[in-house]
Amino acid sequence: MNAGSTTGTISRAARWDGATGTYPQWYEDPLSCLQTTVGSILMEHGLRPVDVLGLACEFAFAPDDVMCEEFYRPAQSSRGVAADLCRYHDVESTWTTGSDAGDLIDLIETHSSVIVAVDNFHLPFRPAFHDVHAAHLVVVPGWRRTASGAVEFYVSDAQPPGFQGWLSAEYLMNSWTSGNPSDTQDVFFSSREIGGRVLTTKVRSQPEELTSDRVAQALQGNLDRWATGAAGPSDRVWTGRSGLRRFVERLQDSCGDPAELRSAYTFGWAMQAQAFLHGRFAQEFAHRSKQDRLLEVAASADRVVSAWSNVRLLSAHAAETADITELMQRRGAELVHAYEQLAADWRLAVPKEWADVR
Amino acid sequence: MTVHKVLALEPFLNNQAATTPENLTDGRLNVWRNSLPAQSAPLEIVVDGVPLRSARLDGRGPDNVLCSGQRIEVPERRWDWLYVIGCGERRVRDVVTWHFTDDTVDRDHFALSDLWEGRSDFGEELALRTDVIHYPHHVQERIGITLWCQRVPVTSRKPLGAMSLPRNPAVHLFALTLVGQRVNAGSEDDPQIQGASRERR
Repeated sequence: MNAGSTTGTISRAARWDGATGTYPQWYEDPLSCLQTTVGSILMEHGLRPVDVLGLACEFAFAPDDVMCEEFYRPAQSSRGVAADLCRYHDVESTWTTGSDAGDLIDLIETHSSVIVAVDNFHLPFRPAFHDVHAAHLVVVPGWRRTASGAVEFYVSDAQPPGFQGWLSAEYLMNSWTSGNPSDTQDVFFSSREIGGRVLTTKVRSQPEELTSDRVAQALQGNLDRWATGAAGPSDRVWTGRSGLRRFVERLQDSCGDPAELRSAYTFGWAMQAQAFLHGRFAQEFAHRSKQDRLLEVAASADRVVSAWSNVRLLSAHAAETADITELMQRRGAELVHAYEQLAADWRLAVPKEWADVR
Repeated sequence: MTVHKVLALEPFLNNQAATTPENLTDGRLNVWRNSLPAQSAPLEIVVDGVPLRSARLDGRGPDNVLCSGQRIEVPERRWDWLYVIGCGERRVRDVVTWHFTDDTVDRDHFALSDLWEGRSDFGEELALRTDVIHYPHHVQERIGITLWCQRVPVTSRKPLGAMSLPRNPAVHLFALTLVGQRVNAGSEDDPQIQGASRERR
């Protein structure tokens, strides 16, 4: 489903219908389940995911975190990962846990749609079904009791091959409470227990037209965070330019240990996806608002996306790649350069006259 | 009028993209060891009038070049384009390095879309789209693998002697063809290219 087709002001409850399978789904190529699930929730509230998730672009890396899940992103604010993703909107989220179908029903009743962590191994609609253990997120917007008294949950998964529909509680419970054991077939996204995790969200922002002024403010915010980032000994999260430079140095230092480099593949996905969305947003808004300089931002953001591809894939293939140390030095430099170029284009796209035209 | 040189990749094949249901675990198209279903014949396509031909894709051994900076000698002359069949593990941008006959080098930009769920990010033509994708332990329907036909410009107009592929484990190449302008059509000024034309047949 196209994000644009769900904008409007109809109430949240009317936005999907389990009988006709119209839960709003949204997927773009480099996005992980973190963005696509949060994107669905935003669409339920009448917001365009690209307009919300694409405004911010930044670097953030938490060196001590365990990063073995597709949906991993370093926690920055106390308002949860959704707040970190939707930096210029009033959105927040909380991780909670449950252990049985009753708990999940309670969470749905309390929060409406919830984002549920799953192990793909147990989900019949995933390619990994009964083959590979891998952590993933799906949206569960509803539940029902069938005529025979069995509980079913409505499950939406926008990631290809894509699925939405009613699923027996047994499948979902197995998946939600899986130990997600370490799997040699998927050393990236296995080995951390799913543990009945659920992400609940609160979206308070109302659908409204974005103005050039707000966009300029956001770009200035991105620029400020890039310039004032920190990566000191006491910083839990390395951010901005200093954070990226330290991250790249760490990658180079880790070249002798492929297992250590693997985390760059998983972690990098969140950063890459954000850069992609930022580029898409800049491109769309440039045309909407006739601001050509945003097209330069879009092109530069796309270079950040590509630089992440190379860092991520080199990290993933480190064990079988010759001259990894030399290559990583080049890829790291390219990544830094790509962000610097993006920052330069933010600077050029936030001219003083924008702020003056109010 | 253009001339073509289909480059022989056999000496460089170092990766297996195609498998049969009997050897699913041999595939190495990406970190998940996905692969594409073996094809009954090599890919032979013509894009923009440029012929491209892959090695055999019968699932019985290496069938593509995983790029690690391989240097490939080419017939010395001015070339304009390098046409490729390839795919990226995730969409990928990198460079091809040109070695000119005057000993200088230069790079040109190279961009290739993702093999997964084929969406062309760079306007490529389809070279192959499969209906299923091979996993190490099962054949997955509803997802396909895409191989793309892409081109790389040789911006400099100097005579070229060799090229180096990207050093990038995310880039798989299945066919390479150089494209140039015929200097004097039908003359004997360009013996290398007549040789190339013969090979093309």
